[in-house]
Formats: sequence, structure tokens, C-alpha cells
Amino acid sequence: MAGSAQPQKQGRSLLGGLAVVVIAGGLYWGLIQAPPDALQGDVQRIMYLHLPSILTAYLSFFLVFIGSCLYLWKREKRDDNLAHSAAELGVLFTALTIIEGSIWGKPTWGVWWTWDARLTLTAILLLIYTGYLMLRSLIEEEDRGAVSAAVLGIIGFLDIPLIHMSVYWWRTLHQPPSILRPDKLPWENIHPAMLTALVVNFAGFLLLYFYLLSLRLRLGEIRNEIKARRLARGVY
Amino acid sequence: MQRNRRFLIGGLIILAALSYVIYGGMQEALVYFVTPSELKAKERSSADKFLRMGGMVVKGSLQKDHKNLTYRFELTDGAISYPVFFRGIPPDLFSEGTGAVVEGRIGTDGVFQASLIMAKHAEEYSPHQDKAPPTSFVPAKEYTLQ
Repeated sequence: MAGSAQPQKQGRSLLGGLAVVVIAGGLYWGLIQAPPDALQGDVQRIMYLHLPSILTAYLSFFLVFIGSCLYLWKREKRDDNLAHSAAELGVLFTALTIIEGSIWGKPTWGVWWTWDARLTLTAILLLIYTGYLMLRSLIEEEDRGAVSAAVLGIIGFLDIPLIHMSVYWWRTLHQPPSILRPDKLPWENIHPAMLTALVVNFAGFLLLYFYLLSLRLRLGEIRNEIKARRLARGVY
Repeated sequence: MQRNRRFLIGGLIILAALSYVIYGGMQEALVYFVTPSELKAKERSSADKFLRMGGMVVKGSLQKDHKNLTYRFELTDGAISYPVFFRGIPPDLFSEGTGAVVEGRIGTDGVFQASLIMAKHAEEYSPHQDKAPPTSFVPAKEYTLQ
């Protein structure tokens, strides 16, 4: 186990460095290279953060879903660690999305917040996984806590398709999706020069995400190791 | 293992019930805004009720009074248009031919007295204003009131 730690650490550093470079590129593309929107002006550039943030959050909760399913099935600590780690990061990226959305909403919509279906369901997503993290810290008996959390982690994920479809099923202030839709190609909604900025930023967000996830996974592994050793020695 | 399976089945049942309640409940309760036609149809029962109305700002209907910060305009859903009065500062994106959602009450004169204007924007972004503005306001697969 000690033998694999060094190359793992190097891989992580590489991922972190790459994330910094691509995010710097994303800032350049988003703030300088991409043209301002004809209607919204410069404020539209918030999209280059807002969309990557929520897509990263979706990915993170998908990993919670996968980790939770695997844990219920096989009861391996590794899968529970994945679900727990991804839930923490998902909450972070969802909170970021809501903050960015508010800053975008005020100058364009005219309000920081409104209770339409899209926004409300996103707030519920944040609540579900904040609840998930609270549940984990509240239940002392570890295996039982992990099982309950896994169930909540799976159920909570169903909010995401609901968020996605909300703009079709209900009347909302929020606009329909620009990218995640089968009926139109991304560059039909977003001008290619703007799409490049979005793609670079999304790549940067993904790199940052996997860097943070790898750090958090390692932290979870170390925690579990310490617990196992204490248990073996009879120290609690 | 037996206990776990029961737990799982129970969880699934709760889950199905929850989704049913959320979907059904939101269909009823989460009508975020009414259209001008719907408002017209239930004008009487809606008097003095605080509500939202959404539609496109009718071209040529917008009258601004910069001195008193008042705005008069009509919102349309394509079928009928409803007059709106607003005093305050609307968002920058608010203009004729674009979507807007207003919050307020129906006045005694049949004019919607808005206390807030929210501007809706499309999911299209471009440096050029070459695209025709959207003609429809509510989602294509929209849920319609009975």
C-alpha cells in the first residue's frame, strides 16, 4: 500500500497543475477571447462558470448514486468512501451554481431569486445532500450510517432528472437548456466563439473536480485505515 | 439480508409515493405564472389575489414615463393581451417583443398593477443580434390548465 502512494501523489499533482493551467485558459477565453452577448452584454460571461458548475455537480451526484448502489450491493468501504466524497463536492458545486445563478439573475431577470420550478428543485437538491452529510455525521454506528446514507444518496439523485425536465414540464422564469437537449446542436444555441470558452471552462472544472475528488478519496482512505488500526489494537 | 431487502422494497415504495406527490403536487401548486388568457378567465376569483402573469410584451404597447418612473404595457400569450401598470425600475432586458413575468394584483380598473417585473431571456447566446426573437413564451410541451 505504501508503494503505490508515491506515484498516486505524483498523478494527483499533475492533475492539479493541469487544472490550474486549463482554468487559467478558461478565464482568458471567457473574459477576453469570447465576444460579449448582443443582448446581455458582458454579464452573460457568468454562463462560462454557471453551466460547468452545475454539470460538475450533476456528475458528482451521479458518482454518489453509483457509489451508493455499489455499497448497498457489495458493502465495500471503498464504494461508501466514493459516495461520501462525491456528496461533499456535489454540495460545493451546487452551492456555487446557485450563487453564480443569483449574480446572473439580478441584472438580467431583475431578481436574485424566484421560486420557479427549476430554482426550487435546485435548492431542494442542495438540501437533500446537505441532509445526506448531516445524516452521516449524526449516526454514530458507522455501517448503519453508511446504509442509510446510501439509500438517501440514491433517492436524492432522482431530483436531477426532475431539475432537467422542470423547464419543459412547468412554466419557469429559467430558460430551457442550451446544451443538454436532443433536438438542437450546442452551436445552434451558443455561438461557436462562445462555445469554445464554455468547453475550455468545463474541461477546467472537470480537472479541478477530479483533483479535489482524488484528494478527498485519499482522505477517506486514511481515515478508514486509522480506524481499522485502532480497532485492531483495541483503542477507540 | 432479509431485513435489507425489506428495507430496500420499503424505500422504493416511499420513493414512488414521493415522486408521485412531487409531480402531482407541483402540477397543481407550481403554476409559476398564469397566461393573460387564464387570468382573463378567472378575473373575478383572482381579484385582490397576489399572483404572477407571464407573456410577451406587445410591440408598440410600451409607454414609459421617465419622470414618474411608470410603465404601461400589454402582455400577450398570442390569444389575448392584458394591460399592465408598473412603477419602478424594470430589469435591463425588459423591452417590447420579449418575455416578461410580472408580480402583483388586478386593479379595480382591470389593469394588472405590477410591483415587480422580471425579464425572461432565451437559451441562445450570440455576439450578433441576427436571430429572430422567440415567438412562443411558454414551454413547447407545456402543461395547460384545465
